[in-house]
Amino acid sequence: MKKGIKILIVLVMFIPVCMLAQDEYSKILADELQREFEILSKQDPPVYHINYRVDYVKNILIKADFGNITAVQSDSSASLTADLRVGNKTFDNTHISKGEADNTRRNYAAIPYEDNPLAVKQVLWKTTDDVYRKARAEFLAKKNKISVEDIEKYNDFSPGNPDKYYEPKLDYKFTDTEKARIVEILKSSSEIFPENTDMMQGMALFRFVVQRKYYVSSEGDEITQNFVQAQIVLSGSIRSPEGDPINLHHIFHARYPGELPSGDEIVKQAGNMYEKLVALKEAPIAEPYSGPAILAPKASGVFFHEILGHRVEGHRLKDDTDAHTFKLKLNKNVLPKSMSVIFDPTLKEFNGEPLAGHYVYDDEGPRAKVVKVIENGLLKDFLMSKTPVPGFPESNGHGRAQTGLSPISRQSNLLVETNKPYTEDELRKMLVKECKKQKKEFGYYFKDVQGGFTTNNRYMPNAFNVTPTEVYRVYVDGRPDELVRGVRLIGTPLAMFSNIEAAGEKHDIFNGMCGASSGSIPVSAISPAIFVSKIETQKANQYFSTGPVIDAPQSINDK
Amino acid sequence: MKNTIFSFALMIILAGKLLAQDETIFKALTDEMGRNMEELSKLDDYTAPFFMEYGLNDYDYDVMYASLGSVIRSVNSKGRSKSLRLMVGDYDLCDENFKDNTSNSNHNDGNIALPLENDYLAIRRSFWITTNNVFKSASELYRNKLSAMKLKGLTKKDLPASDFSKENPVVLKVQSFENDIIRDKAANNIKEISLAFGDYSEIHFSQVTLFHINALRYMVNSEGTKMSVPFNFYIMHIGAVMYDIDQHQIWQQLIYYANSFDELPTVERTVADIKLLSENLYAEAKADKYDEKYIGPIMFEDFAVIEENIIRLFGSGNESLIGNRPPLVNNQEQGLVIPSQQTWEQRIGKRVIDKKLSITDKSSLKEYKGIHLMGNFAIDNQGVKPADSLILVDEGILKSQLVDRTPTTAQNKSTGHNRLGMSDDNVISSMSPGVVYVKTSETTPYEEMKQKLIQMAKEEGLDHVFVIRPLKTSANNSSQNYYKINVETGEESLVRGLRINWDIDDLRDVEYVSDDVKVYNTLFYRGGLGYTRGVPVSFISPGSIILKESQISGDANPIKGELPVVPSPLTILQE
Repeated sequence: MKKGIKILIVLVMFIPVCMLAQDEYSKILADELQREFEILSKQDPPVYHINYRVDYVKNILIKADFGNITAVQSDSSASLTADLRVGNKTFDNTHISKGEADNTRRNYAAIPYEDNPLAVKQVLWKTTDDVYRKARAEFLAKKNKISVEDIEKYNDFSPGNPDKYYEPKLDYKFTDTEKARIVEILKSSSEIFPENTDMMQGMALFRFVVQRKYYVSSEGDEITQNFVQAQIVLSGSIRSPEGDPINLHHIFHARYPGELPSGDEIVKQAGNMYEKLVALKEAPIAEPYSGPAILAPKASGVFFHEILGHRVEGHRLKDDTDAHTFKLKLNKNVLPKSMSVIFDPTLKEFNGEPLAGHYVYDDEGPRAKVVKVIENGLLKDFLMSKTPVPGFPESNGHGRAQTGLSPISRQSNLLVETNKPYTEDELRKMLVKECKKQKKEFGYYFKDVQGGFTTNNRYMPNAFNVTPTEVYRVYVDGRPDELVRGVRLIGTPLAMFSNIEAAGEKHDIFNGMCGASSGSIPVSAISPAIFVSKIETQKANQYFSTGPVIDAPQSINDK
Repeated sequence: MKNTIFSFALMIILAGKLLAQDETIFKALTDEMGRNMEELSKLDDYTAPFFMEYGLNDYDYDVMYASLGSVIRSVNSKGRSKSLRLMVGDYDLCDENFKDNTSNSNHNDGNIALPLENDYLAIRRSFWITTNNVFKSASELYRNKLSAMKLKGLTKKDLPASDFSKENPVVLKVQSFENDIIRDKAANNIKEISLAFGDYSEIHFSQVTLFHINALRYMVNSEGTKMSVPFNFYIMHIGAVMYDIDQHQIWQQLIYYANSFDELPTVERTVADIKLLSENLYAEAKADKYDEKYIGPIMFEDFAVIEENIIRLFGSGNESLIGNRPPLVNNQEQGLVIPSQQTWEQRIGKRVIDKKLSITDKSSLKEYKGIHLMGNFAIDNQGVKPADSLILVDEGILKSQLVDRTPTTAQNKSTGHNRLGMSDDNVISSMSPGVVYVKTSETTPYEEMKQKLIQMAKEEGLDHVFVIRPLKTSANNSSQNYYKINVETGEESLVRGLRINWDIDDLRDVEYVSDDVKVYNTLFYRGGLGYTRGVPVSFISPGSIILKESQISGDANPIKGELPVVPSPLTILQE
């Protein structure tokens, strides 16, 4: 008897999370989906796939400006994204005819977040009907289309293997004590920014998101996972001599508010930011430049995200309005042999810091997978959703979208690796040597960036624009580095990749939000510094103003 | 007795605390406005401001949505917003009433959010930078206005009216309301109310929404006005959608307004109204579709008198009981012009509607025959007290319009009708009537109205005629029904697919006005009904009117819609 109990306990302990029962809400979704599918799959044209995503989100936002709380908001809501496909997997309503661009599909509805079958199913039913009508019209129009035959044959959908996965509900309460601590941090960190006439913004913002994500599909997927994110964003802005704002931001990421850095650390960062703003105000505006540069890890991460990452998103390969930078480069060198690029959404954190691009299952059902896109300089793979492209018939867990939009292949946690790391000192020496070779007085050191964008269609130049916030001139004659402002790092992808010479030994993380046609999603980029033999910069756009005509009030006696 | 003393003491303490908070805000606004008036006047290259007004709106906003017994969304937001008006020049000629198409005069040197706490210096800093932005924009606009006038050889005397009216300053502090929303109770109530639609399987979408704002607006101006006015308002909206027999979607709604949580309708009362709404929607779905164009007499009953007629007299166009002064316009090719707009200010003294009707604004009236008038107010947002009785139309003759501090050619003083309302999560300022009293000199017993209508139709050779009447519920606003009356039999039948093509001149011939008087509270927004946003307005009006001639368009689309392929879960449940 005792032995029997022991075996049972051991068995229970080893039952994987995925075998646990789904909660009632997921069951309601699956029941209605099955009922809809049974009828819609018999229509002409038939539905052959349905999936429902429900994101239940609790948001808390507290904002402070210059030491005072200026906004407090809380919002609880659930959103349904219903997606279905009409036709069959070889040709469905998402089919892209030769030369046409893909459409963004918006299939959103507000839905109750309580386990109320009647209320939940009613929304599912009506939304499914609305989506079916749109998909049917789309399918018929595509069937009737007179278009050039595509010699590349591929399916429109890869159903994949259904999965069941369940994470228990998070039992987390944002307590009054925790709120009081956050309020104190926001006030004290935003208070660091002095209330003088030059300071245009001195903000600290707390955002806490607790999300429960449900996914069910007609293939049998039933996935329930949680997403938690706490952030404190510091934003400072100082007026330049020309009158335009110079902005700096810093984001602290954690899963829970209690895991955010201490108040002292955040206040210290605000102080550093203010000092940097003052220095930037005094710094000269950089002129357009072409020559060698070092991109520090964060800048390099954003650079790889914009320039490489968006061009290895697989769905773009079947869209003939896309530039197809890497379409025919499989197994060819695109980076130095020492470098590899991996997308790993399974990675929760790096050096103790949480990664925004982590998830267990993507937004189409497949489990997140590690994708080695570039191995030792050779292009090996693409990021795939359930939309196949020639040579890549299946998803590798990178179908992602924001609530309300249909997923496409998107980035997750981007990791740049090198098997030949150099110290920062060695990279600087390379920079100076290359400057001398190119007869340049100085090279550039891009220490931090805010973000960037890239264009990858065929109508516009296939270029990128990264927005650096902290840039230094590194002089060949040994003068101290000089901070400059008003710089944008620009270029075209292939030219830029061919100029990457070396990478550093230390990695850093850029956590941020990425926007594309399936909306805004959280991503991370982890990269070492890189040395590039030739980059190009242009001037940032500026807003000119005479500034305030009278000074800010400074004290209670200032009348 | 002890308890009473304690309560009284507590009240004094609370009142004292509130007063201290008020005084911090007032002091910050007054000091910063004073400093700016003084400092900006000393600047060499700028024209001095002659008027400034600072407004601070403190609000706590909630919105909750529920459907079929479940909450869908719940939002709470606390914040402060500001309003700022600054004019350079003088009362006769300033930067306003001028649209400059030759240049963009917007300046923005930053924005600092208002603190939620009463931090004196932080409030001042927030107003300082906004004042700077508004001042630079106003100065540039004023320069452009003067240059444009000079090019056309115009002076102050050539302007149609002065740019801003002089008004007496007021000091008024109205006690603020405690935020009385009980969130858990509110959520439970709307859940319970929304569940009532579960009995109606053909209604495929239904939602109950509760909006609430608790706000306090502080305002000071450079003329010495200092006031604080509270605004506590609830809106409950109920909407339902279903397919008619032609498989097109039709919808109906109920809207309730309240000044306090306790004034909201009970769950039982609302559920009873939902039953009426649902049965009415079912009836409309099965009703005959009207597909003709109708021209002839129409009778309006209850709130349809207001919604389809009276409220439209306060529209945002040129023909309105709200003054609409056209600005000077500066174009690159033509230079300065005054657009030729025929507004009703030129019709003052002339007949604009039927002589049977007189319209008076009685904003100080708090109740009528025991019914609370939500449109009542003591003072407007610009610190102007409205007259107890302002005759707008006397026996069809236009006597005056509602104007704010921007004078028209006919009225150089404000009537005090720039009012406080709500829009989403903030308070708004908008020109609006307060309590509108519609009187008639010639009444017909209500019981005879329908017979009069049929008689008119017969004289016109019509075989049918229309009555527009809202669903009778306890809501402030219920969807309207169109009833077709058979002229021979007098039989009424509900019809669907109609739309009234109203023209303001239709009111020039009001044939009959009933002898009953009804009271309505509603929201007014941008010249029409606001439904879930706007300024509270009350109407005291005859219960029904018959217009001699108006137009109705039917739905001429013969193609049927399409029902959902899959039956509704509600239908399955009921089976």
